Amino acid sequence: MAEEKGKKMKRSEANTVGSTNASKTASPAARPAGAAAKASEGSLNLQNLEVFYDKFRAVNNVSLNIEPKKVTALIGPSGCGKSTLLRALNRMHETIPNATVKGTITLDGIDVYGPLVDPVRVRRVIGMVFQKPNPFPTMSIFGNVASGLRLAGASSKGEIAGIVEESLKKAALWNEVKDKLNEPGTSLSGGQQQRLCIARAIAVRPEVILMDEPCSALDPIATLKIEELIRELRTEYTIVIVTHNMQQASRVSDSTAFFSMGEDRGGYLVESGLTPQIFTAPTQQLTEDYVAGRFG
Amino acid sequence: MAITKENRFGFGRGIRVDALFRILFGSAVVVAGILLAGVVLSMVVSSLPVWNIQTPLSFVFGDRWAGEVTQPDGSVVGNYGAFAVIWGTVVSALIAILIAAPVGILAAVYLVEFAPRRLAAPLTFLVELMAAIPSVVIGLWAAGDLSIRLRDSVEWWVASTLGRIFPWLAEDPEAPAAQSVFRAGMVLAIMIIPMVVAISREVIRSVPQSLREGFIGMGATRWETIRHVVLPAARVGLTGAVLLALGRAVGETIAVTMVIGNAEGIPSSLFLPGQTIASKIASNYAEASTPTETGALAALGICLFAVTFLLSLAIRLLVRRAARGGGQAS
Ligand SMILES: Nc1ncnc2c1ncn2[C@@H]1O[C@H](COP(=O)(O)OP(=O)(O)OP(=O)(O)O)[C@@H](O)[C@H]1O
Ligand SMILES: [Mg+2]
Repeated sequence: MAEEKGKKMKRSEANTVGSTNASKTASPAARPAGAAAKASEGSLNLQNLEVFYDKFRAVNNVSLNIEPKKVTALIGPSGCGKSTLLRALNRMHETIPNATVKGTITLDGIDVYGPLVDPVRVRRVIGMVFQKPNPFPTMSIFGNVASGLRLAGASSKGEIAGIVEESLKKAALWNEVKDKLNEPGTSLSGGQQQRLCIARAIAVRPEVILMDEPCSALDPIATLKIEELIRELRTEYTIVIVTHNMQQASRVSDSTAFFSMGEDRGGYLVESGLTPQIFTAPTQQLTEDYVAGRFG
Repeated sequence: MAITKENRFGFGRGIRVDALFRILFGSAVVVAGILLAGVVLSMVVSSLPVWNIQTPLSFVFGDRWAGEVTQPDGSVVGNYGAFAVIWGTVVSALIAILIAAPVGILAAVYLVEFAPRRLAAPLTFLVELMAAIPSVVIGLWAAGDLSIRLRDSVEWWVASTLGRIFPWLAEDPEAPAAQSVFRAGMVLAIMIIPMVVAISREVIRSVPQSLREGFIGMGATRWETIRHVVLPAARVGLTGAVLLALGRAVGETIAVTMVIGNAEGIPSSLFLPGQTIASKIASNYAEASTPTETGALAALGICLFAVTFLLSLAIRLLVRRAARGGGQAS
């Protein structure tokens, strides 16, 4: 364990380019709430990424470029490590005690695992929406959206109220909740709760939003609403979405990455490319079988 | 049995089974209710004799347990005053809760949120073991070695700092009391901390992991997540843990009797001996010689009920108000 950590440290040190990197590191995280992201911001690059649970390698040597301001879908059979990979992108896996990451992930060229990077700040820049809607039960609808802003240090009431409204509008929820902002977030329907969680993620003005099967707990109409929303959000955010629904992947995403599992249950990237290409003219037989529904 | 067209929906067995269990569980509640009512009723009945010789008001507000006197004309006048023992009960229990609630809840937070798994399991086992130590054993330890140590450390320190400002925290440096209300409170705290930890741990563990992840995913630290998500979500359960512990602190008898000193009256300082309702009943019951004295002790029992109830109510209200204030801030 200790040895593993030592290796990981060395590797991430090797990937940093001295002090210039350190100062660059601070910039996206320290960006004040309110400053809009630049057009080219939010491009993720994965190099030889591996994620372990203890000794088990759940993600195997993945290199992938995630384009800024585009929707990238991660597809593949259950257990091939999609969620694991997604959580490694904003260091959420660090909440799991035995999970470790090797390889590099950079956001606009900055090492997300660099020695001076604060994982807490990483998660403000790379936000997350979960499979099951998880509004905070002790907070109101307003409070749910405002909570991240307050964490980021916003204290002016007017500013918070403005951003909450803006975020709820972007999440296509404002009209449904504007008259009951003080009711608990858990009083909403499942689809509304998920849009509330999206609003909550948007409120802290991330550059990247990770979504892990955001519609799997929702009915078809709520799902369509979220898909529409994802397409709109693409103009401002880089979106990475895990989905089991092939139609959904083809409807919402610009690029698709297909993962599979090896003999050792370790997940690996089979191929990635523009969505139309993956769905109509994949280069691998495995991909063709999967998107045609003949496997997994 | 073969499934036929007629019996494919069963024979109402599911309904009957449900009804059976409803009756079973329902009657358990009724039994518990009857027992509680029975206890209260029997206490009221056994307390009746004392109300012939004094009024409830003089009983509750009299601060000396001076027994009863037979007047020259043969009538008996009661001088049983419960105020000092009620005071002792409330104060020692509050001291215990003020120490045990934060320590216990913080320890539970540590066990659930921070302790590495290899450490959490044995620590939890240890805590549960401590919760099972019989109070007489704690009493023995407390009355001897621990009492002196607490006197010469915590008590001495408080008395020589805060005690210079507040007379009710003062102590005679030349002759510190061998037993005190404050020490009873600390011993009670030691007794109830394991209980607070054990229950709080379960409560905190039951907060869904998805809530923690949601908050951490928005850029919160572990501590912010605990403060704004975990503890608020666990509030009701944590209040329950504290109230259960309070119930034990208020009613604890043996260990308190062994360290509080069993002195009459309200002491001028927390570092002087006093008495609680439970310790009073325990030390006087065997020698009670008249029906009126037994009645007075039963009346004390009713006071104990009332104190427990009122303290619980107060804590619930306090938590609710604090939560409302906190809710606006978060
Ligand atoms: N906390 C954990 N500890 C140990 N192993 C884990 C843990 N979480 C996931 N795994 C393992 O890692 C592998 C990948 O899991 P992951 O959840 O990333 O798959 P997935 O592709 O998201 O699957 P699904 O489509 O079913 O959500 C699986 O073999 C799983 O058993
Ligand atoms: Mg998954």
